[in-house]
Amino acid sequence: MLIRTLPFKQIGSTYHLLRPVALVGSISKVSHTQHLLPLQRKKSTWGFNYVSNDDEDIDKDNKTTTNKNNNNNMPHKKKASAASSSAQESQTSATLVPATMRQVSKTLHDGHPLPQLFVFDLDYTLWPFWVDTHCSGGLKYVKTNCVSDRFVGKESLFLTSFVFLLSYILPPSNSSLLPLFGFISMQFGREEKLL
Amino acid sequence: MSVCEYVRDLTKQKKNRHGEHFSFYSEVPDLLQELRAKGIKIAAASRTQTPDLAREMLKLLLIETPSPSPSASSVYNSSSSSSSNTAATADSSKPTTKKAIDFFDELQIFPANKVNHFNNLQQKTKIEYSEMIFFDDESRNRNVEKELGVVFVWVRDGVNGKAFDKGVEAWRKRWGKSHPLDGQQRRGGGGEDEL
Repeated sequence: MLIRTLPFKQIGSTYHLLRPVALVGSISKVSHTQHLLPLQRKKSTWGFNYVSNDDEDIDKDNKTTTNKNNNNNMPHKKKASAASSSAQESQTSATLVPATMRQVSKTLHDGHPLPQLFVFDLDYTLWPFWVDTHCSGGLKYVKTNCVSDRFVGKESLFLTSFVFLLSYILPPSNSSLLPLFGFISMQFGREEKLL
Repeated sequence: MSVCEYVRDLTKQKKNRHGEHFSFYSEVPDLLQELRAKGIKIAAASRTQTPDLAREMLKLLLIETPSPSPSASSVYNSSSSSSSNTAATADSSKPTTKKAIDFFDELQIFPANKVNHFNNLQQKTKIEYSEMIFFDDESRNRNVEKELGVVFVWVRDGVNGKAFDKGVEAWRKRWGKSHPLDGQQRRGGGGEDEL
């Protein structure tokens, strides 16, 4: 099966191969794990990567140099099968795939009945944290699918606890000023929290 | 004095420091998009102590979606000449982002028994309990299955494609032959051509 994917999206210095998702025409004959197979990449003049998951086709593609004409890129096998039956012709035509969608689930696309309502819990189901305990509030957008909460000064919390501990350990005459330091450091911690 | 140095350092701390970063499980954005593309309703049911924070999180977490330009939609339907496809991909290569909260039709976020959440969901969406599927990490919420008949899927490491498929298959198995709504027309089945 011939699948046409978008060019590789460059993220930082590494190339991430975007998996093809939407298959045009009849999906039934396309195996659902096909997009998960390691794909052979080859640059064409159009900026597409013509990808073939068939072993024979891959061998053939590796032998031949990059074909500038799209029609020459079609393997023989497909031409023969297309000639044999007109029904398969639509399937052999290269399908275009949007970059941002990935097919993660198989059952959504196999044509069998699906529930009308999907209900999800949030904590440790959709995201890997408890929003009420791990998150300190003051949320800020960082980037797509990433949010940060406000910074809580960990040093100041450490200092606060340390100073208060000292005030308990040391005799009262020496530690008369220590709670004051503790109070001051606590104020700093609070300021960090409020930011 | 060491305490004074600590206090001095605290004052020098950068004020716009980030806290922890939060995001969805890696396959969740794709699954939400696929469900949306299929036209299936999505709901969230959480018993978190901080509903406002959870809502804020859902508002700030953005999900990449394929751009809804008309040329991009023609990609799905046409298997025409490659030159028109290149034009379409040039548009769809710029992904737009959408708030995660917009993917959900219903939000039931309040600390209570999950049965209450589902009662509300049933009243608002008018969807039968048998047409619902529920993904959760806490097995104590399984009571919705016994009391209401909602198929409960226990996910251990968050929702991903595998857990999703397992859940859908459990739902199909449960309602496979004697589904109460079998006589009526059900949504979601046989939607191969819609994307």
